Amino acid sequence: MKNANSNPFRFGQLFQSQFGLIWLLFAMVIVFSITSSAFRTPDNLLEILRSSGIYAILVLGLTWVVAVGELDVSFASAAALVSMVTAYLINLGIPMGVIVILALAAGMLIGIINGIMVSYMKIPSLIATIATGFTATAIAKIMGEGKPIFITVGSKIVYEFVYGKLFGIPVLFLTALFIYLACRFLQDRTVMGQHLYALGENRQATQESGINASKIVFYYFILSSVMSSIAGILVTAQFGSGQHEIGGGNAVMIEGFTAVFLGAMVIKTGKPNVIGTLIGVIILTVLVNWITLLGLPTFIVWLTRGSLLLVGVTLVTLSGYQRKLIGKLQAG
Amino acid sequence: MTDMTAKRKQILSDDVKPIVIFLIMISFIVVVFSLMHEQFLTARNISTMLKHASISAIFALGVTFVVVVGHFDLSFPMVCALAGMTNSFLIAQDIHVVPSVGLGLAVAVVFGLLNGVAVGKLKLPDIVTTVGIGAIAWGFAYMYSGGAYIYGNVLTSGILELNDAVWLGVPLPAILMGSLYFFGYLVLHRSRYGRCFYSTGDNKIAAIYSGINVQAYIIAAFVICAVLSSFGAIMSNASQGQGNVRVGLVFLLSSYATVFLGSAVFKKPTIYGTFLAALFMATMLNGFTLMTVSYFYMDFIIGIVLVAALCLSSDIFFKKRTGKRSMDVSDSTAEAGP
Repeated sequence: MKNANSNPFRFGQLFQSQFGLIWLLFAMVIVFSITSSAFRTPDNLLEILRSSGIYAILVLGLTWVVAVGELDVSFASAAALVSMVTAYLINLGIPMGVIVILALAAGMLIGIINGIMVSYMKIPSLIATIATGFTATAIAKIMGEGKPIFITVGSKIVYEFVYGKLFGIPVLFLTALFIYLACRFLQDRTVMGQHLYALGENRQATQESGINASKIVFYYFILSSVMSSIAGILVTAQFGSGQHEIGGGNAVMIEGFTAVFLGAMVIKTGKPNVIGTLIGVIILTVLVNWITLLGLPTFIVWLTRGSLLLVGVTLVTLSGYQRKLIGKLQAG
Repeated sequence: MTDMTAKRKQILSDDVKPIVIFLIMISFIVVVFSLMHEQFLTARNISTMLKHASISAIFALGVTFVVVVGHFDLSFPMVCALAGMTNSFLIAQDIHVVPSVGLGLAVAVVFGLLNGVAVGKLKLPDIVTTVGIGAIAWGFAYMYSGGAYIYGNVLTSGILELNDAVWLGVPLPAILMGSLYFFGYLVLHRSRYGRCFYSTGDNKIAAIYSGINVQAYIIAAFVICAVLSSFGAIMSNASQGQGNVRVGLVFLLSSYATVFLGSAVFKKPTIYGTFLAALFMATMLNGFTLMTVSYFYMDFIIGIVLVAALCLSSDIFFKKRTGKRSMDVSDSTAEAGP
């Protein structure tokens, strides 16, 4: 993890505050491993990596949407809709390639509607994405009459992808890692990433310097929905059924934002960035895994999630990343 | 803002048209449903409908205040779950109804204050902060019973009266809803405070320089939202005869749909707009329920109504809030705030 994100790298850098969260992750893993014998089994650690893979892909697009100063709460619903569409199409016996394209198109449609509503009709992103997300969930429920769609035909390739291992590491996590590294390259080494943070800093100024801000925001909403669609397909493969509610709906939404805002404290202090989000996702998965293994009641999980989200938001606000971004989020 | 009083008369006459539009819309669906289902216009169904409408309308009333001050609150479905569970838990412990409802609402006040202080005073981003605080409230709500329903003493304590009582032929929930809306109307449209709420939402800098304590109004709006939604949750629990953790979740979207439908027609969030929109939604949902349409079809319809309301209202309502001004707001509140 650490080697991946430290390109022009000096050893002393590792102890600066922007790497604090990575140290926290290490400390957590070590402490939990020492105190819990169930936690330190290799199977459990690999399972953490595997299950964080899907979540990581799910919230990747969200990271950039938050970085440009908008919000997307429809990502979990888009994933759920795609998951149902995938299961439905698989049961029809359509070839896998076509299914993936159609399912991604369904998810993309949500992103397009979000993008049009937010960047061209100037509707606050929260309300727009609540509306589309709710509609998407409703459609997903209508497709299965309120129940998951069970897949009747098995597919070995999909199973291998979800549960397979390469060099002992889950393929799913490697895929997520690969996508993240690619996105990290896009974010830090290309004009695209420059525009991303320019928009987050000051949209007006970006617009006035000749960049089509609305169009970029529009594309980020589509990207977010495509990423969550990929996660939706993976969820279908993992459960062997189409899920109309991924991980209890609200929980995924809150975890997604927690991961993004925790991640905003790593590498680029105060700015949502992909590597940070990946670390945020892993931290949350480790925490929830540990709490579950200890057999603590549900409310502890919720208290932790809520408090971590608040800590993340407060630190990002205090670190002063663009009071403008915060102001924009406040104005919706 | 200077010609406010002159404008007020103008606004009032302007508001007649949307009211007529709403009444036509409502009577249209009433006619359609009464033709499609003979039970629709019976006294029994109307009383059921009024009870349901009252609960969702009370939720939407609270949200109206938060939207008026230009913020969003995503925590109320979870805060009201905590308040409702607190109330049910206390009743199950054989505590009298009045103090247990009072304590439930007190919990709501605490979380409303937390939201308000975090957003208004500490200037944290409202959406993410309220999601976080909501998650904490949700955690506490699970604490009483691990998420299971709480039935204890429900039948004997008298909490059911909140839903079942009928005064002068009108169900109690409808009376409560009516009086809350009347007070809401007085505060927001007939008092100095109402204008301060609106100017806080309209332009924070202007409001600060006109001597309005912007932070206090934001905190007040969040507290009002938390308390009203919790009261709605307690009523909803009373109508179900059990304390339910998930009581508020259905109201999250429907409340925003109601408020935005109201502001789409009236061009700004108003008490009467929310009231008529709530009536409209409740009539529609009741009609679909009578025709035994599954809940996810109703969700779909609410979602479509919300998308349509947003698209219709986008020009008039949202354009002024985007762009440069919203950035300036937080900068200068930081300087001008005490």
